[in-house]
Amino acid sequence: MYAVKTTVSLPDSNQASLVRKKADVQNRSKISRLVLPAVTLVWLGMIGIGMAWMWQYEVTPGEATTTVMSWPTGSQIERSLERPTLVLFAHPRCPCTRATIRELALIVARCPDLVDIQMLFFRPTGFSAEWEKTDLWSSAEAIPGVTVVCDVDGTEAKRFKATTSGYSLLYNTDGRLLFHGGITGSRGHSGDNVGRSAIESLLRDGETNQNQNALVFGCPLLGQEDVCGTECRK
Amino acid sequence: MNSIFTAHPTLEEDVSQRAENLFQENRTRIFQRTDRLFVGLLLLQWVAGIIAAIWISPQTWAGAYSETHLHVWSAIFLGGLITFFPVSLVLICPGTTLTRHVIAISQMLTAALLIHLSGGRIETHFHIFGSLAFLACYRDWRVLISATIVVTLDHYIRGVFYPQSVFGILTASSWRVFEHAGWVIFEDVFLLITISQSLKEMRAAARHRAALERTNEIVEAEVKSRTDDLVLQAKELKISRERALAADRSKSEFLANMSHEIRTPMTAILGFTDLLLEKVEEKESVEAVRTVKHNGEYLMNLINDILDLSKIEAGKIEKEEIDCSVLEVVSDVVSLMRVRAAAKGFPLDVRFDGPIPEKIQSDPTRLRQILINIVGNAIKFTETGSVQIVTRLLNNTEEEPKLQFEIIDSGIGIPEHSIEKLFSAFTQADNSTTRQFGGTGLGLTISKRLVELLGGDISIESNVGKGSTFSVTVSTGPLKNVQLMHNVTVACIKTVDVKLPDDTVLPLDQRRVLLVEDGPDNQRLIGFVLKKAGAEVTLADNGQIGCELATAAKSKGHPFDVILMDMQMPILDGYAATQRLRETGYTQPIIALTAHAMASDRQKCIDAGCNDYATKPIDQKKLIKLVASYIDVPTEV
Repeated sequence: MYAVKTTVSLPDSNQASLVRKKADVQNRSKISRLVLPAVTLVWLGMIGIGMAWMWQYEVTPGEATTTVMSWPTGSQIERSLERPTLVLFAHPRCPCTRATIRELALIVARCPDLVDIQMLFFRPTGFSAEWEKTDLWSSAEAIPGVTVVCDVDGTEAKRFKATTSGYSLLYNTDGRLLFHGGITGSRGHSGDNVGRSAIESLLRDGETNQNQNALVFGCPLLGQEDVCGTECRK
Repeated sequence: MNSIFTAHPTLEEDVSQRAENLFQENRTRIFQRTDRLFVGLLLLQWVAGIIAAIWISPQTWAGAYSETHLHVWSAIFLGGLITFFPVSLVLICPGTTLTRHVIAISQMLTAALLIHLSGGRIETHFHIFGSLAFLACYRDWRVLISATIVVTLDHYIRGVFYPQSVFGILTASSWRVFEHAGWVIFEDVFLLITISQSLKEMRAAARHRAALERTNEIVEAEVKSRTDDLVLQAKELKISRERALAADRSKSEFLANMSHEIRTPMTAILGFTDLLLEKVEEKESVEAVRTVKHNGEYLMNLINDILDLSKIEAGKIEKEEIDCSVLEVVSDVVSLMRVRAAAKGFPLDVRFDGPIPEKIQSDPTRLRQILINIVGNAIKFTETGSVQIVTRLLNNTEEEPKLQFEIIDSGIGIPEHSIEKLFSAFTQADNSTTRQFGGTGLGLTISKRLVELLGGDISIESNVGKGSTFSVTVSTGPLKNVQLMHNVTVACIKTVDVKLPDDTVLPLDQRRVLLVEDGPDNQRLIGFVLKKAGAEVTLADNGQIGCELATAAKSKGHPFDVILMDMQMPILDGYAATQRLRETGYTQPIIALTAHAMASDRQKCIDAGCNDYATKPIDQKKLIKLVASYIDVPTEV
């Protein structure tokens, strides 16, 4: 009897086990069919958010300041009396300024001998004398007609109200402001932009239909002294 | 090959189904392999992105204050997000459609990220084209569509809202998006054509392989079917062969048993005939007894031949491999056969051609039997002329050394067509030969089998009316340390002179012999022979009685001088009786008596505890000599 009972019950239990396993597999398959695409959508959404965040960072301009409409009287920078003078303030370690120098090179190439360019690299007080001599300094120095000088502690920047690296000011021979703003379209991005177009028009034609107050994209030039620790002073 | 399948719709369907399966299996393998390739590429791109970010824009500055640039964090975390989801999918579900498309999307997003990180460098756009080419490794056009849609959407969104990041200008025409998308589609077209061609080739290869597999299956099935048939036939053949062999063995065993049964009474007949010959004096009676003896001997020879043949055929024949003297063997043969030749009026010559080994490794009994048989035949079929035995060593360095005996006669010769039949059992050259010369026709058959057993062969050359030459070769065994005899002549042969025994001497005078023998005729015959030699004979019908008698005699302090023990007896056979006696410490000589004549039988008797061994039918003189040799000789067992 026992043997018969065993032989009869075993197939049933096996069959039930098989049915359960099959159902489990089907359920799991159904879940994976739904879950993975859902996870994929979430993944795409997160990437979208990340991209947007980066985008936001790149198109956010530097701090806008009041404009110095005429050449500051106490400035130590030599202004040309024969042709317009372009003054460009830069942070020597700002990666975004690399694009600004590329745009500056284009201006020089397109408007040869039409402008006198003074580029000032900021060096905070207490930093070594060579701190500002970065690849940006070398790149700027390599552009013909560009005079590169060090702006210790941002003295000149403060005079010209420059707060963002890449801030450019174009003055005529009389010391009147023709243009001020950035010469890149976004942070670290080279390419055609309003600022460069305006400067080129002013130099070539003496006038421009472009906006003469372009946004500046770059690192804060002077920063905040109180947040700078000793670690920065290398 | 395809025409075969198209002619059979079922086969065609099978092949198509198999081809489709193979194609899909191959595609799955390609998908999985390409997934793995992209895992490596995605990880490499992620690391490269981080390095590029650290290289180009490691820090962002605010005056004298610096912190890690956002691009570095983006490369690590956003790049990681883009990379690790498809990598995880490859690990979880490699080869699936979702994995492929996620990889395609991820690859395009990586391109977008790299463009961002490189500051919108136009050169970074080449990453898109490279990625599309790489995605074509999947050989799945849908993947290219996913990738193209992502590229187009990315360019469209950025082209509308942030054109400088993708086109390098702040104000771009909305058509520029389509121009960029157009270039991507331009590449897609080439890739799609390549994928299409590749898929066609894969399908063709799958179809070809499926057809090949199907053909192999058909061939294998056919081979298996035929092999099964062959196996079946082989089994049937094996069964038939086993049956035939079993029948043959039964026949041989029957013959052996019957021969043994015949030999036993023949022993008595011949023995008593000898006794009668010694007693009868009347001429007619002597003639009658001699006729009985002659026919008895003929019958005995016939039985011996049959016994030998049946043993050979039953595979029970054994050979010894002991050192034996060639000269002794030849001498024995010549001694025996010279009388017969002389009786017919011609000589039996012996010649040794070249050096002869002093001894060879062989079975002397069988060698002697072979030579006696062939020389006997030569003498039988020769009326005039001579019979010559030529012995030579065939010591070819390339082959095993052999000894050759040529038996040359000047007899009637054998027709060529009859030579082949000579070695068949019960066959002579022709029936008239049997009638004229007598004989069973077994001699050459046995000789041939024995020669083969001794590692040689027999060949015949014959001219009808002029004579025959039988050439017998036997293996000599290794001759490395064997001395070769040069210039051996007939003078070296020692022929045995048969001396009549001196009847006046009683070699077993007053000796007590226990004869343990179940056959009453043999009891009488052997008892008579022993008594004639002067012995006191006590009879025992079986081994058990023999043991009791021997033990009793020993306990009385008057043991038997010798026990002659038949080995095949009822109740307790000779082997068991001997063992029992030896176990009780019986040390007197025990000589075995048996109708079996093989060396292994002798060894079996010795192993049982016997001192020596005598065969039936008994040779009266040999038996007496053997028994006498054990009288007064202390036994050590």
